[in-house]
Formats: sequence, C-alpha cells, structure tokens
Amino acid sequence: MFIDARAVPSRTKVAADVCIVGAGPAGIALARGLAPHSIRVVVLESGGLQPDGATQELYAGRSTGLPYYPLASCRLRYFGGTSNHWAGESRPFDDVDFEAREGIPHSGWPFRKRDLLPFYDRAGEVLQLVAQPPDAHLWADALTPVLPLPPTRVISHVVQDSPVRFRAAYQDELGQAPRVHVYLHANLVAISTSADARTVREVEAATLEGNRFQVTARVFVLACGGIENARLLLLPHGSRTLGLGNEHDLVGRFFMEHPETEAALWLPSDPDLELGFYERRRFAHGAAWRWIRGSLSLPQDVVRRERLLNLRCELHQISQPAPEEGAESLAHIAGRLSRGEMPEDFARHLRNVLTDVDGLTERLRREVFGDPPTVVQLLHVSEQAPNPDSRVTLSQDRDRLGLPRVDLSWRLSEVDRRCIRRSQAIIAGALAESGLGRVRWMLGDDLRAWRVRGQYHHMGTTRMHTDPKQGVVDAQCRVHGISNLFVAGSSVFPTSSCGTPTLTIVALALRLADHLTTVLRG
Amino acid sequence: MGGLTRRGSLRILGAALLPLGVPLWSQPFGRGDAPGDARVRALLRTLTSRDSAAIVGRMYLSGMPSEACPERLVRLLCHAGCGWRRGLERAPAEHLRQWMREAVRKDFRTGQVVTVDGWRLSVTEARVCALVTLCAAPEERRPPTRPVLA
Repeated sequence: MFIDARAVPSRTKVAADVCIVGAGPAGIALARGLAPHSIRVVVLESGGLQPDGATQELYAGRSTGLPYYPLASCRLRYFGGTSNHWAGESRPFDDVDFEAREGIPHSGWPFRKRDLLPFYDRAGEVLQLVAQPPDAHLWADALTPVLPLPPTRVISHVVQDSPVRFRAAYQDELGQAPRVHVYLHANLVAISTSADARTVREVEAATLEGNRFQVTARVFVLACGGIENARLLLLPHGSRTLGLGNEHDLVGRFFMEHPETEAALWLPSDPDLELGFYERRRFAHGAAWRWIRGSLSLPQDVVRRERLLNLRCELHQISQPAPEEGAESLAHIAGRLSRGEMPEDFARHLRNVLTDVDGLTERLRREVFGDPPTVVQLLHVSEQAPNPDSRVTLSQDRDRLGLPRVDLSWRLSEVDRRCIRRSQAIIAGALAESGLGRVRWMLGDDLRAWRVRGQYHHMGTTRMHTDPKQGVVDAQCRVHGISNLFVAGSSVFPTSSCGTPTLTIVALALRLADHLTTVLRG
Repeated sequence: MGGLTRRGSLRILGAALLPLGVPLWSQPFGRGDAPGDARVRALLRTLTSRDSAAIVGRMYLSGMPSEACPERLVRLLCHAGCGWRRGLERAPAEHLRQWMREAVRKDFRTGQVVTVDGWRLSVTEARVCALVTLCAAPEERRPPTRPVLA
C-alpha cells in the first residue's frame, strides 16, 4: 500500500516490525524479501512516484576533494531511487574482492564470495538478468572474437546490462503487498534511542509541507545510499552528538568511488582489427533486449601476486584527426624540427615502425584514401583503495528540513596511483607481446594531474567489519553497539571491486531480509 | 591539391629533414668500413620505414645518450633479446623480421620496456630505431615514388 505522508496528521504513531528508510534498489529488495513472511513493513521514501525538484534538492551538498558531480544530481530521490535512470550494468564481485589482500590496506570482507553466491542468484532474478556464463569466450563468435591475449596476464570479461527500473518493475507488487506500507514524501529527520543508545526506539519522519510523525518498529534499516546513510548516522541524535555508530570516528570515512580515467591510447598494428566484442551490443532475450559489453581485466592470481586493485579496462575506438596536408603542413613540421621539437604526428611514425615489426601492412584502400589510423582509448575503471581520508562529513549549511548538508571529500591515495599504473603496464605489455600494437601512457607520475572521474557509485561510508574499531556495521550489517539498527546498500562495502555495485547491493539486501526474517520469527 | 596518403605525409617529413641538415646519418658506421657492419645492415633491413624509425630512434637516444654509439647498440642488440644467431646477417629479410618479432615479444614478456614520448616500446625495437638514427645512409632510404606535393 502507498500512503502520501503529507496527509498523515502530525504526531501520528505508526507501528511496524521493520522500518526501512529509503526505497531504492536496496530498500525495495529488502521489503520484497520480507513481504512474504507476515512481517509488517513500513518504508519511508523521501520522494513520490515521480521526481520533483524540491525533494531532489535535499541531496545538495559541497564537494571539497577531487572534482565531483553536483551531489543533488548524483542520485534520484523518489520511489525506485537511482535505478530509475541507471545503465543497468550488472557484474558480481570477484572472489579476490572479498579477500584481505597484501598491499591493499583495510581490504577484506567478513565473509567470502561463496557465502554470497545464493543471494547473487536471487539478485539476478530481481534485476531480471539472463543467466550469464562467466566465460567471455562463450559470448564471442567469429565476427566478434575476443582479443588473442596471453590468458595468464590479461583476460576478457563480459558484463550484462539490464536496466530494470525498480519503480516500474515493483510499484504494483509493493502496492498490493498487504503488510507493506510505503509512505511517500516522508523524510527521516531524527532517530530516538534508549538512554544508553543501544536500541533505537523510534524515528521521526517529516514532509516538506511540515507535518511530522513517528514510526516505532522492532528493527530499523537505513537504505538511503552511500552518502545519505552516513549523513543520517552523523546527525546528532539526543546526547550522541557525534551521531550513531560513530564511537570510533568511522562513519563517513572510507568513501569510495570507481575512479575512471583515460589511461592510455592503444595503436593497433592492424587498423582493421575486429573489436566488436568490446562494444556494447544487444541480444534478444524473449521479447526483450539485453546488452553485453566486453572489457579487459587481469586474472585474479595476477591481482593477488602483484598486490593490485581490481580493475576493468574498456576499449573505445577513436580516430586520429586527418593530418593537415600540403605546404602548410610541411612548413609546420619543418618548423617544429628546426626548434628541436617533435612533430605532432609522432604516433603516425610509430605506426610505421610497428607495422614493420609486427609484419602487418595496411590495406591498399587506406593507401589510396588515406584513412586516419585507428586509435583505441583504454578507459581504466578501477577499484578504489579504502582510504580513511576520503570521507563524508556534515557541513554548516542546512537543507529545507533543517538538517546539515554533506561535505564530500573524495580522495585517492598512493595505492590507487601505483595500482593503476602497474595494471596499465601489464595490459600494454600483453597487447604488444601479442603483436597487437603499442600503447601510449596518458597518465604521468603525479596523481593530482590525472583527469579522474567517478561513476556515480558511492560506497564504503558505513563499512562492514567484525571489529567495531574497524567497521561501522558487523557481518550482518547491524550497526555495532545498537541492537536493532541495520544498514543496507553500498555504504557497507569494505572494498568496492571494479564493477557496478547494484547487483551486490541487492544480493546483500536479500541476505539481510533472510537474517531479519529469522531474527523476527525468533 | 589532392589529399596525401599517410606515407605521403612521411615523405613530407623526410623532405623536411633533408634541407635542415638534421644529422640522422652523419656517422660513417654502416657505410661498409666498420666492424659489425653486416649486422648493422641486417638490422636496418628489419625496417622499411626508416624515416619513421629515425624519428623514434632520436627520441629514444635523447633519453639514453649513453647508447648513442653504433658499436654499443649492435653489441646490446646482439647479446640481449633473442641473441644473434651465426649467419643471421646473411639471412633473408623475413628471417630477420622473425628474429625481430621474437625479440620484441620476449622484451614485453620479460619487462624489457622503455617509454619513448609516452609510448611503451620494447628495448630491442627502440634500439634498432636508434641504430637507424645513427647509421642509415641517405642512399639506403627509399626514394619517393611520386612528388612530395601532388
């Protein structure tokens, strides 16, 4: 059932077994997981069934670290959350992502991938994925082969895109679930605890229209995203001026993204090399379409042995601009050389050398028509090293509800720089060793000069660890020291892998649903 | 003026180098009067685009001035990588190129890599290019087959 919170009289008390704050993929997956078990669920969703500017603006905040996107536009604040416009790329984390790795401080999950596998299967159903063989070669064919790279050094990977919009997919189902009540336009503004702050007693919800009401429940779950979960815990709650679950100053720290950077250019020896496997292409799945795309990756034993962060490398074919011809060009080149400078078309000369070395020749038509050489951009998407200095804090600014806005300071570290450089060196070496061409670095030694972007993935700010001194939540996603407060979503990730987080978010939400069902049935 | 092909552009560059007197082939080594000369000529035969190789080689030597010596380069080339088999200097060009390909792949496999203007190159190919820079005589260059400016 959907309820417009704006019509709920102030001081109303709503009772439930489980109160979920946030109706994005995590919150909806959790509610669906609880719904069949006769558990009374209340979902508080800040937005409505459609986006609106005033609600969206509640996400606004400052960014004081690496350049980042406007925070108000990073996530969608209405039923279905950011799934309402995501690209749908789904890939489970690798085994290595769950391991405590040498060379990667703060790495390691409290459980292994195999413990999560049953939930990945169920999450795949929620995201309507086609059962996907992990071997990229099974997706390849004669027209779109994988690159012939040494498999002990570089492998091809495949990811599937299935952009399920949670609002469209699950609105009717939750609307008809008899024990699930979704309050729209309801923003969490306060969490009340027992005097010793070991139990949450109730939460207060407010609408932008001004009415406020309370929700009591046996269990409360924050499912508001990687920045908002931290923000809600950091709010002063009664005598807890440092927030909840923050005894060890961990809430908001370890913010992670998936740093994306144009790391290198690859000049293929053969300009006609078939790279279709690495482009986004669709295939029929029943009456619907799905998409897959290949990328390069490193084998897990290489990641372990070389102490690297996990990564994927996307290939984007580009063309060099056609050379300036004629006398002006001649004068330009002669002028550069007379000043002891390299002409700008060094890559063209390099191609000549390489095509000789690799024993390949360009086709006659290219001689005749003078096509510009093919160049492939290697877009490096990396796991980010957990970094306590990369963090979300509260700023002095306040939103319309009177709550402090966030200050995001996204930072990379020397570990990120080392791993990205080393990974690119391995990929460059494998391409060259295979006779496929040469690679040019686009990244200098100074990390600050790199053009790094995020992928709108917010992770790590309420990280999971069995030790309260190293994590905000325990292995069951319960906030350390508070018996009935849980966190769902990517904020609990101790490490981020290199793939998109949604599949793992949903898998963890289903795992939490099973846990809560067991606990509540007692 | 009609559009020039990629190789046509190279000819422009070659024509640009000559009037400037850039000393790419000023050393006598490779003219038939120095020890190791046959191996040098053989190594140069592995490349057909020597103008381009000379450019790459010059960039390499700017960062490795200690190797700006043909004898040293030949010694390094023949003792590193896949080694130099007896009589290889008299082998057909395709055998030489095969030797070159194997040496390059071995370099990349074993991390014998240098960065030239940002490009990750095998040490062997960079040194052969450097040898072109130092040794290739103008008469060894392919003459233009059509006018530089069409």
